[in-house]
Amino acid sequence: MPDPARARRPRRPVAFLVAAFLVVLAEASVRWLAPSLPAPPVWPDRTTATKAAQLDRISGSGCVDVVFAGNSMTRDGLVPSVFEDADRDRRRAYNAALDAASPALLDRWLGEHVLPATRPATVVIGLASFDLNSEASTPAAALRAYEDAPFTATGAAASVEEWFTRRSALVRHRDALRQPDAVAGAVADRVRGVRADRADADGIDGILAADGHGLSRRQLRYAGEPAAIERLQRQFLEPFRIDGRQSAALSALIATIRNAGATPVVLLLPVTSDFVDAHPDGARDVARFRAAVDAAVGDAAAVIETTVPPTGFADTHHLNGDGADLLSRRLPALLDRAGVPRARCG
Amino acid sequence: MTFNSLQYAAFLVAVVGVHWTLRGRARTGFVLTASYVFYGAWDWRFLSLLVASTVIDFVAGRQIHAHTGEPARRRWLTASIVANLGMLGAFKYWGFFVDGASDLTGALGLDWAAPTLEVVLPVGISFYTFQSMSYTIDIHRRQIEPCPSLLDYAAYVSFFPQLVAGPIERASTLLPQLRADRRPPDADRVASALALIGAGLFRKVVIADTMAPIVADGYAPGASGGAALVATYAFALQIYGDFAGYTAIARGSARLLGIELMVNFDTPYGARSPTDFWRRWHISLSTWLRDYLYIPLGGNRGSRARTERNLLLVMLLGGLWHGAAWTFVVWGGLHGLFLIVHRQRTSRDRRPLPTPVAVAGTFHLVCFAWIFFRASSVSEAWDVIRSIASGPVTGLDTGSVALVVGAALATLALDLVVRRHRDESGLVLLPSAIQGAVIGVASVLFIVYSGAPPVPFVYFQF
Repeated sequence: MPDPARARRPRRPVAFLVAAFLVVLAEASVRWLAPSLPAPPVWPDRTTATKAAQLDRISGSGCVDVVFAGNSMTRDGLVPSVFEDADRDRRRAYNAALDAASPALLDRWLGEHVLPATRPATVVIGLASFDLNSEASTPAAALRAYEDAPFTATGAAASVEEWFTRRSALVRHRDALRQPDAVAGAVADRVRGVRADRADADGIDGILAADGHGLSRRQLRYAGEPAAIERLQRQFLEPFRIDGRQSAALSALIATIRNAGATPVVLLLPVTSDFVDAHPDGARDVARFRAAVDAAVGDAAAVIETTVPPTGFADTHHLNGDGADLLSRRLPALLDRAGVPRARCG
Repeated sequence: MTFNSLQYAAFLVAVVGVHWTLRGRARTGFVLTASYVFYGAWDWRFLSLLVASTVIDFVAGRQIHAHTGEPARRRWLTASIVANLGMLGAFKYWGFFVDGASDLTGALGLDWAAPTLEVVLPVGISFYTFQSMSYTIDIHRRQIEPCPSLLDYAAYVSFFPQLVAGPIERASTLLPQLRADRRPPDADRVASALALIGAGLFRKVVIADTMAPIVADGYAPGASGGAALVATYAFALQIYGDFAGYTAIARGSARLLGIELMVNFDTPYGARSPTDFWRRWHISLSTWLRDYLYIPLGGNRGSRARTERNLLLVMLLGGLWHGAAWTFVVWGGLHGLFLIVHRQRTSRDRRPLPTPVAVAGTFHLVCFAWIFFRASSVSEAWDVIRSIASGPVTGLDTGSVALVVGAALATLALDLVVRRHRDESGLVLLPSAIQGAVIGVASVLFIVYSGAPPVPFVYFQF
């Protein structure tokens, strides 16, 4: 038996050529199969993937005057088309808000993706009390997902992975390729010419519009459901602790926006009285939030707020269609009153 | 810093690079420093245990050698064994035995509050204490001379490629290599080392980690009979891929430093009997148990009953070595029974079974025992067995079956190379086109499967 550690062999470039050929063949095969494979999980979630596609489209066609940023409350509560109709200058708007996006997540999302693509003149940051709650579990999970996804992760290893993910179908689709059933299904679909559902700039039926605003709660009306309050407390409000971390993240977000040449504006989003009562310390927690916002923002941004009648809510804190349209119509005037310049993008 | 991480790749490149720029004591000192850095990256607090074990056995070895009278030699040997087993007992088995004593006193109606010791199991403690103990035992047996240098001995105990999960090396083979003036490996040796590392990564990332979720599904409460059955085969592939993969990476890493570690696996699922299985599986542990436990107990030199008692005792202790849980005791006990039954059968009937029947039978006995090894409790193991018995084809997931069959074929392919060439580095001896095909297919599979969530090495918990 020859000792592999000692055996003397000629150099074999043939082996490397055969290996390279097989890797290239696999890459070509996956590229052929890709349209029928499930969407690769390169973004934290489908709505982020869709918004990334929308940002690509905006980037290719110009810029946006006003960007709305925040969590799902902003996504559902600010309708760009209604804002544009109500604005006498018909400034172009886009809703870049993401699910459960805390100021820390928004700082990265805006800095790395939204601001370079939209080059806005004004950024309206929608905020609610739990955005500064360091103990809120759902925003923390959203931030973790953002930091783990191939296209939004940071660090040297993540950069290498992103580089390969963007260039190689084999790398991009490896989640699906690990599932024999998914591969078999994709081959059958590809042969039949059936394409898999993909995130695109036109939005997601019933969930996300082409201008980025949320559609799923437009028809709902809040009726004080206990389950909604319990879910709100579990995911966002309990325990409730405002410390320096999220306030610092808010300051950093405002600095990021200003560094990009845009004017930041903080909009304290309207909520129901049940939302206020759901805090462990009720209105006092909300007052602490307000004080923390003032301290974090200082003179760097205007802070505006308004109310919406109870019929305008889909649940304790998300606006329905009526509430969203009302808030979006009022927003141009609120910005004017706060002295925000009516600047154009670009 | 696991072997399948980028940190380890960077660490290994740096260590190998610096290592060959040094000579003599500086080189050994560097290997020791690198090993302590590697171990400290897991948990620096447990470095003190590693150092303590090293110093105790180094001193004990010298004292055993220095004394000519057997009582003194035996006293020092006992001190070494008590110190090592004491550390192992305190950190690994305290809770197990205290819980057992507590259950016993409870059953006797006595009210005894067991003292608890909340400690984390130091990684690799079972491996390095056995390795260190073998040194003092071998000196006591006059099989080796004590190492004159604490530096060399410390490097032997802590040598990072095999520190946390073996192979459990004997001082007689590893120490002389560490002390020798080694030359840098030539291109062929580097290629064979890289082949070992590549094959090890393949076994771990592509085979073992792919099986892990299938196993987890099969052991979940309420899993179907089909899922439990597939999980049983999947675990056989997972544990082999995981441990043999680790060993291959360890051997490849050591080879880059000019050190040859022992072969720890020799196509174990091709074994024709339980006895044959233990000649092929975790060879460094099975030979350790043979040399330091089975033979001192009398081995097969006494009556049949005594030999069978020895076999059972060794396998029970071998099971317990893996972990402080009844599942491991049952696993070891089952293997002890398999060995006894096989011994009885061969003593009565010398006609061997046809090879396919013998291999398949042995494999299924081993798989059955793995159920206890994998389960978190004996009752969970029974649930899995009941589930399989109630309907082994109900709820079969074709995707999982396909992955298990694929993993089995990949394991078989690698094992054919091992069978023919002693280890996975035999891949470099394949004809060019076949070698290229193997590298190409392995690269594609590695790209696809390296994106899955990482799974810790199974044997790191021991």
